[in-house]
Amino acid sequence: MYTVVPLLILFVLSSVTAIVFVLANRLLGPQAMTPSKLEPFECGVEVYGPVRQPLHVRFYLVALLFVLFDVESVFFFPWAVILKDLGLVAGVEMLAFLLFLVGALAYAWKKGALEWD
Amino acid sequence: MAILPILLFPLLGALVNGLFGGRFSKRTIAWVGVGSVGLSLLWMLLLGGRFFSSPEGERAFVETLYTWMSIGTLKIPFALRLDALSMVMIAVVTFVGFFIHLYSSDYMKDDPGFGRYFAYLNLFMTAMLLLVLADNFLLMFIGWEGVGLCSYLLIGFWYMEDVNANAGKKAFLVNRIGDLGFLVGMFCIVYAFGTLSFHDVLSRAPEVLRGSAWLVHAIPLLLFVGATGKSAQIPLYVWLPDAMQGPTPVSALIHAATMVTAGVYMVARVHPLYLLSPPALFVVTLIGVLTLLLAASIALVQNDMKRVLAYSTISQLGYMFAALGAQAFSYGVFHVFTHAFFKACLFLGSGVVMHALHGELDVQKMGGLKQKMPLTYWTFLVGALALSGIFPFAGFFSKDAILSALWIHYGPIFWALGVLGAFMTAFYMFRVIFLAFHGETRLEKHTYEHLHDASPKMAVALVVLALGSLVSGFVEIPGSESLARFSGFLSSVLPMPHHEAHASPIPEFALMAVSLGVALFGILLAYVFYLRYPGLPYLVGQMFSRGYRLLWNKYWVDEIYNALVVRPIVLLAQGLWRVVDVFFIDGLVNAMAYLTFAAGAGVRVLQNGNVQFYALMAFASLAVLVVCLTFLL
Amino acid sequence: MDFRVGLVAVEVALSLLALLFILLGAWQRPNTSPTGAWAVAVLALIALGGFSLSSSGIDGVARSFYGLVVSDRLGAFLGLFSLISGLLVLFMSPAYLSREGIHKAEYYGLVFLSLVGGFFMFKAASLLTLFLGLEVLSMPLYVLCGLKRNFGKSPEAGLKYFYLGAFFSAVMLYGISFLYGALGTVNLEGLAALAISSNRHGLMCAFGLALLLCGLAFKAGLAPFHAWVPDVYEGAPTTITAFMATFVKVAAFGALIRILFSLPPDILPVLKPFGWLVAVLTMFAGNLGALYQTNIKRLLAFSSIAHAGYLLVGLLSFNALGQQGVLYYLLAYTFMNVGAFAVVIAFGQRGEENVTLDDLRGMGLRHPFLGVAMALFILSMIGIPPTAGFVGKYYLFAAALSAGMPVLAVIGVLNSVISLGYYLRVLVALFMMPEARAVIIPPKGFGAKVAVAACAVLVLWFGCFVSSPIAAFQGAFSQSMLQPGTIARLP
Repeated sequence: MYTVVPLLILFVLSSVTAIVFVLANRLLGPQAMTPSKLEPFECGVEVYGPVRQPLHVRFYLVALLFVLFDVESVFFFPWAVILKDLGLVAGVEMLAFLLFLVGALAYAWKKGALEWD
Repeated sequence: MAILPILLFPLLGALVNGLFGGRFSKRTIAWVGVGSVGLSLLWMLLLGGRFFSSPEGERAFVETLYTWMSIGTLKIPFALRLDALSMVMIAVVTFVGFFIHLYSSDYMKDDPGFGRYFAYLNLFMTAMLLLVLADNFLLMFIGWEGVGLCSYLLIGFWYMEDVNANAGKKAFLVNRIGDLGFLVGMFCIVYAFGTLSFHDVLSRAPEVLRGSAWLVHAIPLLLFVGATGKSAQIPLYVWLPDAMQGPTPVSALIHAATMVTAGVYMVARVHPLYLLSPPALFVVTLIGVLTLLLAASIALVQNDMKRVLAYSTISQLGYMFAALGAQAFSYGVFHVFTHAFFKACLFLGSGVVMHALHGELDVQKMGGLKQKMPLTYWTFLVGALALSGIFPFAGFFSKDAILSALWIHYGPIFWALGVLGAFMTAFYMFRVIFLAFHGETRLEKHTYEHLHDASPKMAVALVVLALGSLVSGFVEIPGSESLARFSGFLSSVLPMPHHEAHASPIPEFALMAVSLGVALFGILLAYVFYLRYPGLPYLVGQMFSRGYRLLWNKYWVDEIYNALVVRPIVLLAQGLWRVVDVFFIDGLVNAMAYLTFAAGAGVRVLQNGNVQFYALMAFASLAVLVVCLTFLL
Repeated sequence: MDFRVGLVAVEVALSLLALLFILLGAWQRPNTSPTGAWAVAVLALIALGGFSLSSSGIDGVARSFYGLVVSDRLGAFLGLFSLISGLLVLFMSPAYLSREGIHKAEYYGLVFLSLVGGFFMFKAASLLTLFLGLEVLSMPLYVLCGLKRNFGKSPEAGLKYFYLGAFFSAVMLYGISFLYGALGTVNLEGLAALAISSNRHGLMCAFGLALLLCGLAFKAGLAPFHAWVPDVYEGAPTTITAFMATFVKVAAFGALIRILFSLPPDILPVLKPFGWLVAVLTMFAGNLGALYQTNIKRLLAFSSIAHAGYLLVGLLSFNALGQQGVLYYLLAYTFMNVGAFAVVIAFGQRGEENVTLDDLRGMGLRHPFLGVAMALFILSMIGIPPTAGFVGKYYLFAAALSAGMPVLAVIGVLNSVISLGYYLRVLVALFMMPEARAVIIPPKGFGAKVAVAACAVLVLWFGCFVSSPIAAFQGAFSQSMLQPGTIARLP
């Protein structure tokens, strides 16, 4: 268990710090509530519609595509760094990975997922 | 000569009728259904010819088709065994079965489910033949389950009415409880012997089981639990009376040739296991005797013709088990043999009556059928005489053999109980005969005028079976070693029963005379009560007339007798029927079912479809399991 | 330690097929049913089945994918079962999917993808491969469950399965991370070092192992993690229900076998009581839950829970009988379950495909072929000879007995008796009730009937001819990549 103890101390310390600051803010700061202060913060724009209004399903699609093309391409960086050591096999494997990725892109494109309207 | 075809004919018939029955004419269906069993019968005769032509010492044929499964070192072949015991059984099954099929082709001819009926019936034959021909426990178990399944299908054949479907289910469920015992017994055998082959288990039984304190008793008792289910003994007999909800030929088949005899056959087949355990033997006899008394006393008060016959089957099965327990194994099988003829004959006769009366089975409403249905009457009478054990009908020989075996092995008390059963048997059978066939008719005039006797095919079946009931007893003449041909024939498989020379001080003929006398007395009593003075209540109403005072006094004797003897028996029987049958046993079964379903309802509450709740449940279980595992590991 | 692509040829082919069919779905014209695609898919699966059958005789153990995937007899057999399940499901798919208006080429692609995942689960040589396989198996299934978007219960099923599945994936991954932390490796051989008491990381090991096993128990539908099964099986398209009920069980049990047989023997005595408890809970939860069901899909779902319990009984025996029994039962179970669902599909109708017991009334007599086949499947599930189900059950319970667990065997047999309560109701409805509906349209699909016929014949075949498959299964465990010595040291 020795390996866990420093981690535990860190965990406790950071929690305590966070709680102390929030509490201090709450206790020490001046609290004058006006209606405009209680409004949801919208960059100065008038509030329109309820906060919990569901997002349009398109956003989810975009999020999914983001995961597909952005996050998965992170995979390329470590590969590129050690490509020389790994040799040809790694190159072929990455091509296979790309094949699937391109397939997915083609599918999304054909299905119209890339069009906003 | 191959043994297998005898099984394949009915199986083929079942397949053809089951799959194409809807497209065939009824004529074709009947030809396929009856013909396939006819072929089996022919094949049985051929096998029998070969059997008898081979020298006496080599009369056991084992036919191994292939290895069905192997579990570790345990090899289970698909093997059939034809020896004296299975020869007798297939003879009974195919012979009686064939005539029941023949009868059915007329009896069921107006039924829309004709093809389905014959498919089930043929399958039933296949399963029973497999059961008696199997060379190992597991293969026997297949037949064992098969007859259970087919009886379920056939009892619930007219499924439109709930009663019938429920009766079918009851039969299957009660049978499965018995099967549980059989299965556990089989596991114990594997555990002890490492094989399931009859030959290996039975020949090695003494050396293997001698060292074991509990297996030696547990195995036969567990197997006997299976037998009580299949052969309708206490406490699992409850399904059989309800089983008459099926078509009448099915009852005949279940009660006479197939199904209920399976338990008797099984105990006889594995008798070396029983011989090692005197307590198990005693339990078998005790259950048998109790069952025969209980069932016979219940039969005394039933008005439904088929129900009387159903209880009488239970009672006769009790005799068979009593014989098995008394180490007279071949007498038990002998009774199976004779019983098959007369019980099939009686059931088929009651079927004719039921047909003629459009489903009426209440004997109180019949009367006078003798004049209109002479053939049915005479065959029914032969069956009843055989069942009552009257000389020279078949039942006399087999029942008497059993009673003497009881005397020799368990003494006069068990013998007396058996004789009491014989008395009740004679009484209730002739009560039915006198009420239904004799006296003035109580039917409506119109119905009575239009009564018809058995059709030709039915008549053939009835006459053949009645002849069988008449002569089949002569294969074993009691009291003489040289004339005991039946047990002599079986002696290659089953040990010869002990004869009186061993112990009994009372000559066998005296016992015979007593039991015969008691049976005759039962018939006489039935005659007095139900034929000689059927208008007893009416005459009692007349008693105030002075001129008939003497006569009235005479009847008073009968009244006292009635009050002192018949009423108590009637009350006792009713009580037994109410308390034991309806309240206790049905109640127990119902309570188990209720508890199971209540638990099911509990499970359903947890299954509420709410995914958050599922997640919570899963998480809680996860937490518990993980914590426990973590700290125990 | 290198790639050795030949050993993962089936998986590679399946992956490419999956990609192909998904793309095909994009270019498919709307409102056309891809019958050609179906034919190609079926042919491809048959070819792959033949290939894996021809290579299932390989002796010994070979590794590929840099040691992450193992090829041995166990994997070959489980792969074969999976392909059979997939093939049977594909056979009955076109008629059903066209009827429900969801016949798309993507369906086949997703089925293939799920198969790939399953293959990597039971061919895993490392915990990470196992986890990846699990995810690849699950993701397509989430989609397939929700495929019938116009039918309310289907998306609900997909979503429920996804939520709970994601939760347990996380649980499993969490467990794997602990094991990695304690052992410093994710290889299955590394698990042999899991000497709990002597290691100073003992607590971590135990915690990790417990989480890992719970995650797999969820996938296998073992109680108390079975709650999702009835809802998901009911809502999913019936073909997918059949696929999940058989193939996912094969994969989950394959993975369980891999892990349990990699553990050092001294842990087993501690694990056994838990397994015992889980098996008993599972059997009762399945059988008692099924008693009240009137919807056949739900009824079969509960019964599949119970069957998982029986399988666990065999697995817990840790003897040769139990191992043969588990494989045999998985095979038998595949046939009887797919067959039963195929019959349910055949009797169903568009939209209200919730075939209830009432809808089945009298159908056995009107359609004798389907009726008799269904009766056969039900009898096999009850365990009545001579069906494959009986043989499987016999082996499982015999294994429990010879492993010295008579109580578990008796509870198993008792549960078989309880199960009669609902199985009989199906038979009663089929054969012993007057017909409920005047007109019923039998399925036009030729494939569904082929699947039913094949299953019926095979259920009987494997009930009658037992020796040769059993002999083949005998070597499956002893010649597999299971920790050497583990089996030898088992009681």
